[in-house]
Amino acid sequence: MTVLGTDADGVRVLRVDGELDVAVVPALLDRVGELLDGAADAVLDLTGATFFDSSGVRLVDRLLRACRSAGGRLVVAAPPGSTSRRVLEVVGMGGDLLADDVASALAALR
Amino acid sequence: MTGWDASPSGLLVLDPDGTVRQANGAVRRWTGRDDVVGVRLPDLLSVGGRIYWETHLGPLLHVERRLDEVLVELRGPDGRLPVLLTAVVGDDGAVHAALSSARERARFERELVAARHAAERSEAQLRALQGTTAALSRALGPDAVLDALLDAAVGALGAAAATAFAADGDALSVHGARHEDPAPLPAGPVLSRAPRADGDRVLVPLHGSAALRGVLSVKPRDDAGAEPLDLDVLDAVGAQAGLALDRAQLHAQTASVAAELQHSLLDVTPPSDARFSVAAVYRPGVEALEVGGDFYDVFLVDEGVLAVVVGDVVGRGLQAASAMGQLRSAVRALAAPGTGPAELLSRLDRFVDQVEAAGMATLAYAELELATGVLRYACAGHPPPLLLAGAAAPRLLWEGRSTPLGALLGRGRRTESVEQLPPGARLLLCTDGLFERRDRSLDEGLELLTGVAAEVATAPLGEAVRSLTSRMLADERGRDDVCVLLVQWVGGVLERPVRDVDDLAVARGDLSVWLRARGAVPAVAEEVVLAASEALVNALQHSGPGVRLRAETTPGPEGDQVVVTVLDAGRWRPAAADPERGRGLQIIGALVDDVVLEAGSGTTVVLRRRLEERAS
Repeated sequence: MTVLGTDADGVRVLRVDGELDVAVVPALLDRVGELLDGAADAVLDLTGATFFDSSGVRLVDRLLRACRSAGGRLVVAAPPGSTSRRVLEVVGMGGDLLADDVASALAALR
Repeated sequence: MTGWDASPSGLLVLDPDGTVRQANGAVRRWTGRDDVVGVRLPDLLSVGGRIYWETHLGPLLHVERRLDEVLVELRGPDGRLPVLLTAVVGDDGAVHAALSSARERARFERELVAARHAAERSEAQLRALQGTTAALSRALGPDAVLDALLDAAVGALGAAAATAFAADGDALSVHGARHEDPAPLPAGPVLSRAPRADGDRVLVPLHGSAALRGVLSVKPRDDAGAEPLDLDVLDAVGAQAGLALDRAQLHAQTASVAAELQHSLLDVTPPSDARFSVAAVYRPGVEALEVGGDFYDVFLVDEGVLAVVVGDVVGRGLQAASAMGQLRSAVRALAAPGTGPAELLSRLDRFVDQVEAAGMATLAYAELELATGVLRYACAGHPPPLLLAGAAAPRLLWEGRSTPLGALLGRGRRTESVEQLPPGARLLLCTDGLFERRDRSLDEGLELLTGVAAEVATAPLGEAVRSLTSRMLADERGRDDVCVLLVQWVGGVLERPVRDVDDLAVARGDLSVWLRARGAVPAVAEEVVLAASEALVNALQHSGPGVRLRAETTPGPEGDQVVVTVLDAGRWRPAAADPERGRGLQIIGALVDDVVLEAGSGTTVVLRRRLEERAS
């Protein structure tokens, strides 16, 4: 997980590279507050994720809750055809949560 | 006095001081004067001769009382006349002298000098001829012979320009030219055996033993001081070139016989079996124009045992190719069920005792049990096989090594080694031309091979072996034969424990390789791997250790199915009790065709999925 920073509009941008599975997610769940660093709106970029399963869903769910309770929103950048998009759609987390890439995710938050 | 005057030599009688007292007709003729009496002899000589007389000859005559054949020059009416002077001082003090013309002698000497020049020139021509002959004999192939001939013509042979024609029956065609546009075809048939003039050019026929092989047309240099073309040398060069063309043609035929033989021997049709796949590349060396003795073979040594061989017979050409063929047949004949690699090598030792040309051949031989993935292998002086297993780094198999075939030290010491391959594992066998270069060590070459193999490991089999070969050979220009064989054990069943969540990524990698080896396209493999991973996470989180992953294929109603089974020792709680787990099952359900949960001593999840991509 890479924190890319907070943009001018106060949107926190987080990026995942590599495999997001049960071996790495639990540690990230404990760091959600730190990762968001007080930001209410956030973008999670899954473009570089090579594996994404229900553990990843759990991370998305936790980030989503944190943003909502701060009065903001989370948008996940998951390219069409990617495993992460497929998995999120399967568990009913498609729709407004998803964007094709980071640029459209940021645009959706404005 | 008739005899005196008629003598062909000049005869003189001088006073002791050199004044002429008497002179005969020859002296008067040579000097062109009748008043020689009373003149001193030195005054009849050239300036140089006079000085010579005053400083040397006069005193010498006075002391020695004689002179023998001293070359001096008389001043004559038509210029200087060389004469040999012989003189004795008589008892009365008078000097009796005889002069003989030295013209003949001078001509002889000029001829000697000319002969030396000629000798030097002919030595240069001999060197040119030798150099040309050597160049012609080094040239491989008819085109190279004609190229060498053209280079020699405008080089050592001293032509201003040259054009070479190749003969095919009666027809001549331009091969190439140096220092000019190709000259026009010689008019009329070239029947002569010897070089002949053709306008301002010289045509040199290149006769082979049986037929005209070509014609060299040379243009002499016309600049001042240029040595003229030597027809004898051109004749000799033409004859040499004709014979060189004979040899080149014969060689090309022999090389093509050897290449054909090798090609037929390498035309391996591997047995077809769903449990393994094979891809091979054979790249003949082109530089030497000769085939080498590299070979490979793939055959079933027993029901369920696949034999793979790569070998390298010493030497090149027809002999190596035929020795290779015999050795390859011997491997097939001597490999029998239960023999095993080490015993096979021992038998091959005895075989190469009979076939000398196969001696010191190197060979890598491996037997793969198709049901279990057990690999037995042995290398007789051959580079080690390279194992590419799943996500692990490629590993050279350095065990089971012994000496080349027929080596005295190898007797009775043939060894073999065993390796358990995981499903989907690939084994690379090759000859040393793939990685051996003059400018790097064996270890460096093998290291490079290992690195490149790692990069192409996941490509489809045929693509992997081609890409590996072309990348490894990018730095050389076909010096040597290269044989590369890549065999993949698809494996009937993938079965492995999954210890904990940290082992998951490797387990997913193994399953992915296994699926790809069974022909699953990437999208299908990805979905099955994801579903299996979810099932494994569930098992690991709810039952603890003792989780196993098993995958196999079975024929289904709509083509082959992959069946993934996850076994654990615990008991699954109902999905409703855990929303996270519910999500996992939800994902599994979306990705596979069928999910079955079986409870027994543990819990078993069985996932089924068609291998072919679902139409979406």
